[in-house]
Amino acid sequence: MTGAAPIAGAEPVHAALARVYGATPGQRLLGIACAGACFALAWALDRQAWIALFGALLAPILLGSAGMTGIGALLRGRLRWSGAWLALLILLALGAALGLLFHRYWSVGLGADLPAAAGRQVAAASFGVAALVLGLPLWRAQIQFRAQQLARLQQAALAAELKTLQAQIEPHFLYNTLSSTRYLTRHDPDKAGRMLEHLIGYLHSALPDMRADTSTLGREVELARHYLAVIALRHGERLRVEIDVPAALAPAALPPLMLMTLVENAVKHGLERQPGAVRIGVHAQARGALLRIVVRDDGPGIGNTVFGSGVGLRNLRERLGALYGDGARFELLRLDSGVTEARLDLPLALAPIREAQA
Amino acid sequence: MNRPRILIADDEPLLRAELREMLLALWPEAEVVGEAVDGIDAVRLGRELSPDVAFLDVRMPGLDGIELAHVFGGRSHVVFVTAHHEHAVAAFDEGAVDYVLKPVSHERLARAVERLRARLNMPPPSLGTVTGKLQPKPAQPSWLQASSGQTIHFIDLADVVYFCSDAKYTRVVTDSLEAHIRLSLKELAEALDPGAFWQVHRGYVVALKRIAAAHRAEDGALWLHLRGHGARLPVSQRFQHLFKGM
Repeated sequence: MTGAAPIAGAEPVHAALARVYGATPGQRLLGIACAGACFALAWALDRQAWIALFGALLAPILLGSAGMTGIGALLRGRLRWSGAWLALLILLALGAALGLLFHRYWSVGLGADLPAAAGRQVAAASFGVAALVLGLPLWRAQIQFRAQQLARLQQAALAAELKTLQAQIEPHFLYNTLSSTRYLTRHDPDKAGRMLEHLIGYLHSALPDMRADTSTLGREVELARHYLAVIALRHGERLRVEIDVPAALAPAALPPLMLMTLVENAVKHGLERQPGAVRIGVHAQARGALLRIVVRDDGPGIGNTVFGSGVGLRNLRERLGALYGDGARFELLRLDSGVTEARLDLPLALAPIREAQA
Repeated sequence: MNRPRILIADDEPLLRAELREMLLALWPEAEVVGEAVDGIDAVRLGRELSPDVAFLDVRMPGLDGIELAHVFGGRSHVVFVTAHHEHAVAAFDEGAVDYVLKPVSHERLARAVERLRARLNMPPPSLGTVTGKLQPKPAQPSWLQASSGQTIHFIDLADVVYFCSDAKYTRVVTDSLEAHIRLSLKELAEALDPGAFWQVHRGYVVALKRIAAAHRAEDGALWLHLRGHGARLPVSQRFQHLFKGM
C-alpha cells in the first residue's frame, strides 16, 4: 500500500492511528477486565487448553494495538500510510510468534506436547484474527483519509477559481480603454498620459487581488477612483466623480472587488444609459460598529422596468451572506431626488477578515 | 458611383473619433455623414440618412436588435464593431455582414473596407437572421423595483414571501418590508418563474419555498401557512389542485 503525503488540513496518519487504536483509560480497564474474566472462567472450569488459545489469540492484538499507538506517537508527522501498514504487519507477526510461544509453554505445562502442525495452525489463526481486528479499521481510516484529501483538493480548486473570477478584469474595459488611448496619443498626448496613468493605477490595485483574499477600503477606493477616472476620460468628461472616504477608515477590511461591483453597476445603469452629465459618488462612514459604504449616481437608474436580472448584485448578496451571515446588509434604493443609491453595511473591522474558506 | 456615405454608431466619443479617422485614411473616397451616440440615435440617423454603410457598436445603450434590423436591413451594409468575441461568433457567421473586434486594427479594418467596396454595388442583405443574436437573451428576472412611501426599493426575488393584489397594483411582502409594484398581479405572475412562485388565489402569488403547510379549515376552505411569516393565505377553488392530497 502506498500513502500520499498528507496535504494541509487532512488528518495526518499518526492522528488516524491514535483515533483507530488509541483507547481511553476506561476502555483499557474494561478490556483488561474482560480478558481477565475469560481467563478466570477458563481457570475455574479447569479448561487449560482454552487459556492457551486465548493467550495465543490475544497476543498479536495487544501487541499490535499498543505498538501502533506507540509508533504513531513516536514518529508523528513522519509516518506515512505505507509505514503504518508495514509496522502493523511486523507487529502482527511478532504477536503471532509470541502467542505461539505462550500456547506452547502453556500446553507443555499441561503435559500435552504440541505437534508442529498444530502450532502452525494456532499461529495462523492468531495472526488472521488480529489482522482482521486491527487491519480493517486501518483500511477504513485510509479510505476516509483519501476521501478527505480529495475533498480538500476540490475545495482548493474551487477557491482558486473564485479568486480568478474575482480578479477578472473585463476584457472590453481594457480593449476600449487602449483603443481610446491610441487615439489620444495622436490628438491629445497629455490626456493620453493621464489615461495611461489611471489605467496603470487600476491594474496595480486590481491585480494583487489574485493572491489576496482580503482587501482594505483604502485599496478598493483607490481601484474605484482609477476606474472612474478612466471611464470619465473615455466618455468625454461627462462623468463627475465624488469620493468622500475618511482617511481613518482606509485600513478597514473589505472583501476585494465588492466596491467595484457597485461602481461598475453605477456606470452601467447611470452613465451608459443616458447622454449628458452624470455624477457618481463613493462615500464611506463609520456608524457605530458598522462600516457604511454608499455608491450613488444621478443617472436614469434602472428606468421604468419593474424587473431586473443583473447577476452582479445577486452575487454580491450571496458573498455577503457567506462572509458575514446576518451581520451585513445591502440595499439598492431610488431616492426622491432621482438618485440611485447602493448602500452596503458591513461589520467595521480595522484588521483584515479572511474570506470564507469553509 | 457616388461617394459611399457612412454612419458610425458608438457611445464612446473617442472610439467614434478613432474609427472615423481610421476609416477616412483607409477609404478616402468615403464620407462619414453621421455619428450616433446610442442605439436610439443610431436608429433615428439610419432612418434619416439612409447611409450606404453603417458601423454599429453591438453594445450601445438603447440598442434594439429588431428595430435595428428593420432600419438598416436591406438599406445599408452593416459592419458590427464589438469588444465581445462571443457576439461575433454567434451573430456574424451568417456572412451577410462583416464585423470587426475592438480594438480595431488597421489590417482588419482594411479588409472590411475591401469587402465593402466589393459589395457596395449589390443590394444590402436583410438583417433578419442576426437580430435575435445581437443582445444576450434576457435572463430570468432576479429582482424587482417596488415603492414604499417616497422610496423605491430594489427587492431580490429570493427575499419575496408573497405578492398580493391591491387594486390596480400589487403589494410585495418580504420579511423586512412591504412595497407597491406598478403592475397588476396578473402581469406580474406571467413574468415570474413558475418553479419559484405559485398563484394560489386571484389575489395571491406565493413563493414556493415559503409554503410550510396547506391546512383545510372546517368549512372546507384551504389555507396556506408560511415558513417564518405570520400571514395565512387563502387558496381558491381554482388552484386547490396544486395541493392535491393535502
